[in-house]
Amino acid sequence: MITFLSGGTGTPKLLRGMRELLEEREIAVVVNTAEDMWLSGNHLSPDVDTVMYLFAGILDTSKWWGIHGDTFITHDLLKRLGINEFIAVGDQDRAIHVARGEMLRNGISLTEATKALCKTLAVQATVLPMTDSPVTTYVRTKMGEMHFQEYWVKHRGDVAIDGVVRRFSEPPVATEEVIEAIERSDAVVVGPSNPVTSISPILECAGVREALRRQRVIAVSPFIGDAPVSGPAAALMRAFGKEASSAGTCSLYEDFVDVFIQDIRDPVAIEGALRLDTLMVNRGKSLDLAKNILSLIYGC
Amino acid sequence: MYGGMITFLSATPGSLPFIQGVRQILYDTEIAVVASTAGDCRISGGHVAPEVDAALFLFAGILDTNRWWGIKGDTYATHNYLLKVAGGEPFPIGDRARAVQIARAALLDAGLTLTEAVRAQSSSLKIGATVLPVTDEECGLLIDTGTERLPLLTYLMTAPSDTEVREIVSAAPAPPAVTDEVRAVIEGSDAVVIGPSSPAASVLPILECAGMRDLLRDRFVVAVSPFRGGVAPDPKDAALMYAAGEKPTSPGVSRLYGDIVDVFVQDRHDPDEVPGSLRLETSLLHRRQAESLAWDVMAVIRHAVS
Repeated sequence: MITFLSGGTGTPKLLRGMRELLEEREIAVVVNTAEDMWLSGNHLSPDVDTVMYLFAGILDTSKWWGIHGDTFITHDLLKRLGINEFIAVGDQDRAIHVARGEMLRNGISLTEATKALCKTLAVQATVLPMTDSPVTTYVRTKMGEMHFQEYWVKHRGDVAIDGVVRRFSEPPVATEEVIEAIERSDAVVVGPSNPVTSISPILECAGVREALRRQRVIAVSPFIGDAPVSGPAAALMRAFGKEASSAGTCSLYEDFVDVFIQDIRDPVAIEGALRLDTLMVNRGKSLDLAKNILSLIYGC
Repeated sequence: MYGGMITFLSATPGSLPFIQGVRQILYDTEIAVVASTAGDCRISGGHVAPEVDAALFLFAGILDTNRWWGIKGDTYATHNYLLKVAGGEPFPIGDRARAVQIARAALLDAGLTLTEAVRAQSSSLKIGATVLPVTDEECGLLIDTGTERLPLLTYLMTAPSDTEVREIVSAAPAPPAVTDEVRAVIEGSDAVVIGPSSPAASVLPILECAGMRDLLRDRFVVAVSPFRGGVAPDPKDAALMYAAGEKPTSPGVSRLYGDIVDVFVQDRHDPDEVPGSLRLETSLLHRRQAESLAWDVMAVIRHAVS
């Protein structure tokens, strides 16, 4: 089994390749939940949904979020009624939020709720929220602290930020399921997701770094030069006090990473890093990178 | 044809065809509807208010007038997908109706009263009529079936029709108070009309709000019986009537409503005589029947009030 650490962009593209090569049951994905929120009365878990939809075969892979072919009837009418959901929630997507919201309201944990949804969506892979207690990423702006989704989706990242903070009422602890998945794996892959908003929240869950230090870990950099392959990573890295580059990323992972992969085009030199084509612009590129990583793990 | 305001109590599928008929005679701006909130509840994160919603949809011209609830031509993408991925919902909520319910929940969560939230929605939907919840207090009814207590709406929409009704229980500790807006609109009306709604599920919860009966005693009130004797009543309306302590007949309804009613209208074929009642054709199966009853009732009001 291989365990992946994932956010909502980058890593799912690697998972697209992996799920074609591996038995899906041999894949576990630990997913960032620091962007979760209650929206329109229901529970949105953007990264969990993206990963779940990918394995269910219903992900809209033109946007890498939402359900393929979904309609937006409720969302559109809400706008006319003066309620602006800053995320476009599709009607089927909303059903997932409703189902999860109801389960959480009834005292079911996020891990159990995700398991139940994965079962009904016939997902064979193990999708694990990093923690069962709420933790939220906020960015600091001149207007005050802003939920990361609001910053990225509503303002398209077009707001100056000078800090990234995590808010919680109790410090997040990794679930037993997460630690067990890491420990039982042949290797752990940290995918090319945003180091600050996707991977760091997972690493900050108590128990994760310790478990990773005891494991073989392969990490893929999301940067080429100072530009992330996708998403708002650069400004966030700087606000997080790290250089926006593979070097900055590597320094976040240095205590546990065994193999660091950076793109063949990346001008930043990192000693000992493995150079691969990480630009997964299509299914074939996803498969190539996945194959290369698997041969690193299994030596064949 | 008519100057003053007419207020209707209750907006159930029983009364809505009648109100629709009245819309052919009065301008919407001359119509106020006071809706019972006894069936209100939160479902899937939205604020479901069956009577308020039906009244809003009616005056917005989007009510499904085949079943008298929900939006005409609505789709069910979320509801259908929920059936696949989870336990589903107690009854089908359309995607557009869901938007209205989510929007109202958002307004309530932002601190608005139900009255304010409904006014905001009336304005977004460009409604000329005045739609008012009878109270801003939570006052859902629970139906005690002997084995469990079902929220009123769940009972009405999902329970088998032979479900026993032992008792109708109010979730509120004391009778909720009518709002100032309801008080003002009734005081400013020439007449109040109680349509042929389920007495126990809709009209009584309105009449039992603190202050309502006193308000109505000073007004000219016309009530239309929902029961027509020879015709078998809706089994749930009947079960609720027995739980309220009366038979599902016009005399039973008349006794439940009591002295607030000035003119009691019963069907001309109804064998159960209510002394002093006005006999009219009250069957509302076709649009023309509803318009005809509306004309008759408006004539009675014009005659009495002028």
